[in-house]
Amino acid sequence: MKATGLLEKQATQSDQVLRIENLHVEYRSGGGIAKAVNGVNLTLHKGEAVGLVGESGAGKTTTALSILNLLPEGTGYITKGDIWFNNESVLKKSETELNKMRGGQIGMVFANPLTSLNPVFTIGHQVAMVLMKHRGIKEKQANETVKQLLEMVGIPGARLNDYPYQLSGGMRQRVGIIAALACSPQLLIADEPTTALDVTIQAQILELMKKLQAEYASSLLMITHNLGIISELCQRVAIMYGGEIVEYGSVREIFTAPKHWYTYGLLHAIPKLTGPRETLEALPGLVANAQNLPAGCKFHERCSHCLEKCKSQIPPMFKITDNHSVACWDVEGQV
Amino acid sequence: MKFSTLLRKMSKSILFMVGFSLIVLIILTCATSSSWTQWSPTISKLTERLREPDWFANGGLAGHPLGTDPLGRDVLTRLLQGGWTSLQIAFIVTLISMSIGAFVGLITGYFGGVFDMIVMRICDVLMSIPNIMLALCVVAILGSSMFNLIFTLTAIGWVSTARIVRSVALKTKHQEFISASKVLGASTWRILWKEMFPNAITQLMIAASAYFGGTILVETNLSYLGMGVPVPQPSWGNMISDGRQYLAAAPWVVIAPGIALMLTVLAFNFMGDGIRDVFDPRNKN
Amino acid sequence: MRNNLLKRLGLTVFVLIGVTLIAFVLMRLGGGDPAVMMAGGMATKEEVQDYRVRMGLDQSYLVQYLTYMNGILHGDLGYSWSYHTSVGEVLSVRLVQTFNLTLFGFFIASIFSMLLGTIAGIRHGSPIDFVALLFAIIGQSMSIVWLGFVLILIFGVQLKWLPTQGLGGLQHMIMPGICLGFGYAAVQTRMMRSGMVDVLKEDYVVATRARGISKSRTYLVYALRNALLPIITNMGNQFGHLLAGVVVVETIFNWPGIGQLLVQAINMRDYQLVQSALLITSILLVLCNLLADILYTVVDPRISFQ
Repeated sequence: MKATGLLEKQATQSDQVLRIENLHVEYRSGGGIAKAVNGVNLTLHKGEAVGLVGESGAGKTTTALSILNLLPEGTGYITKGDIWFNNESVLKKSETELNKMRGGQIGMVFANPLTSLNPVFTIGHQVAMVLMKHRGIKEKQANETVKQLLEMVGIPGARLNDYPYQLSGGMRQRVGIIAALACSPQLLIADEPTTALDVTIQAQILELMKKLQAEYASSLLMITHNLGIISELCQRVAIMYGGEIVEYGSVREIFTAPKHWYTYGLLHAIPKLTGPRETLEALPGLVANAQNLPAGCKFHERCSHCLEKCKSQIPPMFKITDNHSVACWDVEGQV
Repeated sequence: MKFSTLLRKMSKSILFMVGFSLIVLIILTCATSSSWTQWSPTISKLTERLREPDWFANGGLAGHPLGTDPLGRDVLTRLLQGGWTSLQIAFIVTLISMSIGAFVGLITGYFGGVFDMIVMRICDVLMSIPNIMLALCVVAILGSSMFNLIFTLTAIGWVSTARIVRSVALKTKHQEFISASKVLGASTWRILWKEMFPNAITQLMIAASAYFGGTILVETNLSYLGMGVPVPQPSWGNMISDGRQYLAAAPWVVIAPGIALMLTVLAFNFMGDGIRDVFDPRNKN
Repeated sequence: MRNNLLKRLGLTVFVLIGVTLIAFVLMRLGGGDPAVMMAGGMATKEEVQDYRVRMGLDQSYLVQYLTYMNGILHGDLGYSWSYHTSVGEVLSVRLVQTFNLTLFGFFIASIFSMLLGTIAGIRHGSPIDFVALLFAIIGQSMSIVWLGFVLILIFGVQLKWLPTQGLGGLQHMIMPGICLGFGYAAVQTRMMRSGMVDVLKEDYVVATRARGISKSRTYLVYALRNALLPIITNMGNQFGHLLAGVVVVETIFNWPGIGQLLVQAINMRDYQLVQSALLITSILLVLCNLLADILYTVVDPRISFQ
């Protein structure tokens, strides 16, 4: 397919941090196979913030775990494609190299701060263990840094001996964020970092992430189903559906002129605060079932503009402008 | 939950079905054995003593498939009829213990107050003496007989059930459907029996499976200490302990009832686990 | 926390008084006159009466009980008529042997089950997991008497590796120790396995791995601590169950501990010995449960402050 090569063209440049090439991931258990990711291509440049958007079950978290090569053992398999971090294949790295990369060069913030901190270790230790591992320092020295980090996100340094249960959800997520950023990684992956939090806390956390990303000059892969977060934090956005990226481009273009009907649906499912009141358009149907994906375009069963072609042929990425591509047969004529 | 839904769910649990089928098989075999086995379980025949197992080679049941014991009695016959004794004891003990336990648990949990306090303290005391020791003392005092054995195991057995049911009763006591029944003028007994008891059934069934297996095991322990089913009536417990002296010369006398016992307890444990699985909220099927 | 502990201790004292009462009543309900047994079959009525007075059996039950309780409060556990010495003396010797045996059994069973359970949990679905599960299922379904006999048959009679009876060196403790700890090991293996399987599914395990901590360190340091919590709580309660087994195991292997003593004392109608043996066992059992609760608050940070 000639069109799929478009995104990789820029990827040969030296400032690229992450390049995902044609990634396919399957989950196998009890005889069932779920095709969670089906040919994802994505590139992140230095200091860039890219959003990965989709409903739950679209394969976002799987993509993130694949980058760290941390798919659940015995069930999750990368069947095709490769992931390049600093022009080195993550899949070919040894376990020792991977452990150096995880936490040291790539930090990850998890979705649920209530479950992603170990309940029986102090928060101080959970941040310090990253420093101890990657900086090779003792816990005592590490604790000094941990205190500074805690202060930086607005938690008194003296609380480093607290256990997770003694902290509120928002505070726990701050701990999760500084644990991910402690070693100034080149890439920060944030997997729905605000979903489990109250709305007011969400804003604080986002503000914090924005500030820290700028401060640490790291690239950011922001995974979310919340389009508001994307417009706040990211320059580019990839829309994911059924384990594929269906639309990709600059945040501005995609938000003002979405080309894929799924993106259109997503954008019109959010109430607008300004302007005349419109009826919300809910997307009909359910997210594509990874165990039984439809043929052709994964979205065609829910699409209001479905063509005959959509039911049998998977659409390639069509380039609309330099900053915008989309995988949809309906826009073929516009290219 | 409707009874039919319950049955359907249980029939889907492999663990439950394996356990349940095994139990039915064991019970049927043991219960009917007196009509089709060839030998008497109690009459000794010293010329035939300590025959090695012939594994059905000598004319099947007419031979001694599992050998004979020190008194020349057929081990297979004793195994099956002894099993029937052990199963009956376990069944009666479980049934009565569970009934008393459920009754006491419901009453104490629902009414609370001084009565609850006293009963629970009695439970504390009974739980703080190891079961076997307590049973040993009681049977020693009463003298060993079937009835005394059953009485003793029941007297101890109701305690854990009462606690389980009480905690369920405490949990459901303040739920709205109970208040609703009260408002509608349902009698206390009706509330206890029709509204609260069904909530404890799952827990009761799990406890019963465990207690059934446990009773069979305790019976062997007491038999060994000389407080079990009196001879010559066979039970798995006294078969095992009687074989002690002939362990070196005739190991089959001990091994056969031990394996039968293990399979039975295993089947009950399976069934209990199966029930637990079926009712586990984490289990979606 | 402290208040709770005091409350528990108060309750414990109450429970132990209850135990003495039950033991006392049970012994009085029993047939057979200890004075007759003491005096022997040839004794005259006068001699029996003489024993009865010396043993305090002519007093009312209430006085007998109060005398007994008064003695306990002063550290006097009574007089054993079958051993012709103070109960305290008989018990202390026996208690040491029971302690040796139970601690040995508990120790090896704990280590074995934790290792097997952890490996099985990590290698969920592998052959070793299957073996562990099989061991757990069978171990819970086995009669302790039968297990003792089979052990004797294999290691004592057939292989002649281990002594089957009585006290001696470490090799004398192996079979009774295994026999005693077998059921407990089965329960713990199962708990450890399922605990580990559950913990490894938790987000914080992936999160720890995502920080670059190696797999073995994540599992053995960070996940294990979580999986061990319920195990440790259960240990105290399980030690109590283990203790119950000594009656049978000590009798099978002729181990001169408190369990064997209890059986003998019951047969001899040695009232005060039985009462005190029951009391001591209950104290141990109750203490174990108390210890388990305290231990839980120590190892689980979530409980200690609440």
